Amino acid sequence: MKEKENSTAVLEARQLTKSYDTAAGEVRAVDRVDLRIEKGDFLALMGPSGSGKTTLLSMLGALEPPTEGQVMLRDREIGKMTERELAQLRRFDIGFVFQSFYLVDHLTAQENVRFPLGFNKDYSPDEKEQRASELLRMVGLEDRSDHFPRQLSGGEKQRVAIARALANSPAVVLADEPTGNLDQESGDSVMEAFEDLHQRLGQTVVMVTHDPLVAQRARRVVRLKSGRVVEDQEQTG
Amino acid sequence: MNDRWYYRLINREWKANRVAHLLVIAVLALTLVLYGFYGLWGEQAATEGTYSTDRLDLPSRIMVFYPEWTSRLSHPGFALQEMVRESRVQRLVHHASTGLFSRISTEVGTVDAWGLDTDDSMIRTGVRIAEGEWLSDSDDIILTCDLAERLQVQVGDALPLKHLPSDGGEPVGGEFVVRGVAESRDGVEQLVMFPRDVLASLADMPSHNAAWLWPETRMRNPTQQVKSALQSLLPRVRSPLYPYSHAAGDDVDNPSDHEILGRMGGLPGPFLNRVEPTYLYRRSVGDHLASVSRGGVVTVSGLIGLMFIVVAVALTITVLIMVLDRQTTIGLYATLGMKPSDIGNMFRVQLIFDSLVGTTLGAAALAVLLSVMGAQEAITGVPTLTAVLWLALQVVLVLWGARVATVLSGSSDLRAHLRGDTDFDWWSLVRITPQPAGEDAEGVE
Repeated sequence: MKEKENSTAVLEARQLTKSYDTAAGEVRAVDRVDLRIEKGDFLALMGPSGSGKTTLLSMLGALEPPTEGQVMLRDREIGKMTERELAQLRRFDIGFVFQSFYLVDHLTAQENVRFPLGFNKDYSPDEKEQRASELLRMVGLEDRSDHFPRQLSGGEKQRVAIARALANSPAVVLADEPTGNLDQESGDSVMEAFEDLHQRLGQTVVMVTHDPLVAQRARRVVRLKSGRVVEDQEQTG
Repeated sequence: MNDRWYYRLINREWKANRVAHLLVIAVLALTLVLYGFYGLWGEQAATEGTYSTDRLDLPSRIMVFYPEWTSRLSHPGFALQEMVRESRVQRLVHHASTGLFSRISTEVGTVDAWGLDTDDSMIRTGVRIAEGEWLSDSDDIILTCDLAERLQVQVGDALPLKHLPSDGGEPVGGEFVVRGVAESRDGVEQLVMFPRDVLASLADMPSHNAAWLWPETRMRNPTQQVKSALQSLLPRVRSPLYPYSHAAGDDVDNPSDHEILGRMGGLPGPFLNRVEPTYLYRRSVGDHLASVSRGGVVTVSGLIGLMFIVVAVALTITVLIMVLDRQTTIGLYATLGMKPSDIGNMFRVQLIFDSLVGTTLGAAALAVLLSVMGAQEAITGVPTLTAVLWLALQVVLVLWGARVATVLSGSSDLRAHLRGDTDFDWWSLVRITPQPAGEDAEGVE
């Protein structure tokens, strides 16, 4: 297991547990997981279906409350945050990329990227437009800024989602099967985007995938099985 | 502080879900038409037989005509109408209130009236009432509906009155008989009274009071017929919540009336001379209930009430479905950092828009419907209760939709919303969660 107790974790799970009551009894999707994510990590959460990786990612991103345990973001416990603090956390500290893209259909690519910036008072309206354009350029979609999601391919949608996730320069980007709905070529382009932002910006990325080829591109791989961490290893580029 | 982006988002949101919004608007408009229509029906049913022109519980003024005036009647039915219109009745009110009643020591109250000052400006004045009697040294006297209601007068009743002879001597007593209703220059019905000894000289008048009443009287007059045709158009642009305020007698072609009534606070534009609903009979809720029992219209009122409940439930469910249908979007917005209050506001703004558009369309449709039916002739009062219920429905509708959206977006399980799992905690809609200080201090920038 990887241990970096001396460094400051961007995100940390402590004895994180998620259980569901089913007809067959209690099912633990995530079972007492301890995980530290350091600044600059490019981490892949791997495991077979039902191993709890998406549930773990959702709890790390405050999208789902844990049954037990704590999630710490920069030493602040998410579970004790107010509604307002959670909203701010999702705005500024965490960027999400989903398998199903979850772009806002009635907004253009540019407007989708600008969406999270709407809450950011550090930018003027003009600067927000510039920031959105810059991010789209970074993911190679500057010529698609006025297109609506329905006019974009799957890979393009996902790259827009990546740009949106980066809008407020979050501490960590959480990506749930970002290539799961994409063909090989599109998946590669998305992964290149992730690698690029990790290398150029030092962006912390936590990515759920069940694809070994995708996981290979991460710097660290955490394997889950039956809700528990069974392996945590660094990979060399 | 919200910037234009936020409102652009709301606009796009609305357009993206326009089918649902148009459904809400259509339901609202249809509801208003039905509710207004049946509300009118209920009002009419409730008042039928109780507030006819034969029983003058209507907002009437009492007018006492003197022999000198009646002698000027060349054609009783028509000329009286003209006389009333041309006789500066209101000036006489002023005269009576300032001169006549100063000689009366015992007062039981005052009623409001309008009068013309010497410079022809309108003034509001009080007419004093003395022990149920009043004196007159002038040709007529006009009192407001307060007195009519207090005296419970109706056509055919005789009232003991005193008047001052023109030479200023002692008041002379006499009996005045209410002969009917006439219409003043501002379109208000007034009781027409004559001294009993004068009635004989009016033998050529039609005995039935209807001959003295508008619209029958008015309709004999070709000019009035033209005016009536014009006036019949007016209710089409009026609020359907006031379909009962009759336009009869409005001088749509008389600029001076426009000016005068404009100063009185009348409506702007071509409807300056429209009398404000304060002239109309206003009933309390108790009166409504009493009318219902007397008129035997429990069924009608019950239907209206039942319809209100059904409509309220239908609209509530429609809005609920509309919001829940956007569960994924709401979850996404929350995931991207929108506060629940911002998301709730988004729905609030959209629903207020829907509410306004639906009400406007419904009101227009109802006005057209009522005009086509000629319902403007039905003077049955102001349906205050209807208006209040409708307003309450709108408020509940808007608050309800926004509340559902707020609760959805405030859920701790956004992942379920993103998946579209409707695992909704209904109790959370009524649960009040204390917000930390400054929760709403920061909005979308």
